[in-house]
Amino acid sequence: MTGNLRLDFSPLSVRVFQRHLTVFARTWKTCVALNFVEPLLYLAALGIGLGVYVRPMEGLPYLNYLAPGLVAASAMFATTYECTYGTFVRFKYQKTFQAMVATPLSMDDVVLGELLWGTFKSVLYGSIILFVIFALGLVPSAWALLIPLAMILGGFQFALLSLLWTGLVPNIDSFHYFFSLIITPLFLFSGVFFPLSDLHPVI
Amino acid sequence: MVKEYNGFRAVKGIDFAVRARECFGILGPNGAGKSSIVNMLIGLSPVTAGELRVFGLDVRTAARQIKRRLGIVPQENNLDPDLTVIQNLVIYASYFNIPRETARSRGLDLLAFFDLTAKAGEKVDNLSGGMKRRLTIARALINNPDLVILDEPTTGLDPQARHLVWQRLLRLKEQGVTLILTTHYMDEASHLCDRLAIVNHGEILAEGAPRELINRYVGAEVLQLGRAAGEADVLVAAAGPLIHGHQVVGDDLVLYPRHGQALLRLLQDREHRFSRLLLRPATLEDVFLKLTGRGFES
Repeated sequence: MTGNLRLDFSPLSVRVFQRHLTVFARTWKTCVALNFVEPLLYLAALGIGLGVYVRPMEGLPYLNYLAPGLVAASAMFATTYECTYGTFVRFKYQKTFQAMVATPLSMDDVVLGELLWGTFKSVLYGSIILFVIFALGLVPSAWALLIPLAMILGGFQFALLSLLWTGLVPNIDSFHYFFSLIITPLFLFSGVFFPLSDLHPVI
Repeated sequence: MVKEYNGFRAVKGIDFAVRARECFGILGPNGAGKSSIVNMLIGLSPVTAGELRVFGLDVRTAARQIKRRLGIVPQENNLDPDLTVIQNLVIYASYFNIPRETARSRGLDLLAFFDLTAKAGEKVDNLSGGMKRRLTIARALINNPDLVILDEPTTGLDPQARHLVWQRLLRLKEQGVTLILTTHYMDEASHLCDRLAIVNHGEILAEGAPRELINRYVGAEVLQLGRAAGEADVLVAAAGPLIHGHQVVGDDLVLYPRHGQALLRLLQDREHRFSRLLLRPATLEDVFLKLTGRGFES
């Protein structure tokens, strides 16, 4: 904000995270419930439906192959939606950030708070799906407990990428590009649905 | 102090000082540069050139320390629509590291002060415009600020809501809070401000107490002649020493009389030629007209 490029972070950025947590505390039931639905639809349609016609992949039935990929995809979508549409609405429509920077918070604190929150949501939503596939008997090993740790890194990375995009775009429609050109291809071609080793060389 | 946006000079080099415990007004039409001044004051927008000190601290290097002691009421209410009324105050207080319990009790006091107690648990979207404005001002007071900056505090409010806001601002002033407010309402400026600066096109045209400005530039009274601009020269000549100045404002002619009643008698026999003949006390609007040669809202 001071016109130079020196970063200006402070512990107050945690307050931004806490604000989001307070809001989330009011709406988490709907958010989380809706978040269940989509991965379950994929599991049902592809894992159980399409899975009948698909030969085992890497030695696993298709449903078992698909399940962990959906955990990762869930974690990715949670943070990308939050740090694109969610952040954009707070920034441009609700002017939440403008209110925040009128206090001792700096804009860098606000961005760091958004990053923390995006990462948290990624870990939370990914873990929920992990729990669901565990409940369905699709988690064979206790090592799966370490997966949320990996989500921290992934969540942070996608939060950063999304915020970068959010900072650059002029309007909310520009997120279509982000999802169509970056997020959806990542979802389809990252080994969620089929092993990358079998991918046609052209792609 | 200068502010430029992509080569456009929104603030063209202004200089002013605000005293502790006074209410200082920045009065000017839309586009005069009022919000640019405020945005620099609160560190939201960098100063292009010059120096700006708040509490004796440079806004460029001490933004956090300054903002800790500031209360800011932006032109556009930016209350948090995801939170309730009391949560808006408590969460905002957390940005100042104010402990939760302190924030809550202070928040409830502020809601009482602004007649919002009954709305504490309400969602912000369900409040009327006047209530939202009062809540935004309440929020700006949560950190017990030494200086409150209000950008057009009553724009868009109905008369009752405006008067309620004015009364609360006057009480704050009595409590020793320094206020800086921008407005394009003359009555607001005369009602609230101890001193004010009239700005236009990014420059300060005049500065002083409202009464003093009126006396200095216009005098006690003005005589307004509707649709008299066409014969301005004749009328000014006829009035002679009875006036000390005049101004053509669109179709109207405004005379600044030395002896209002005498001038009125002189012009009364021609009354039928004007759409209006009105002798009235001078206001800040007349000062503005005199200084800029144009109407305020135009």
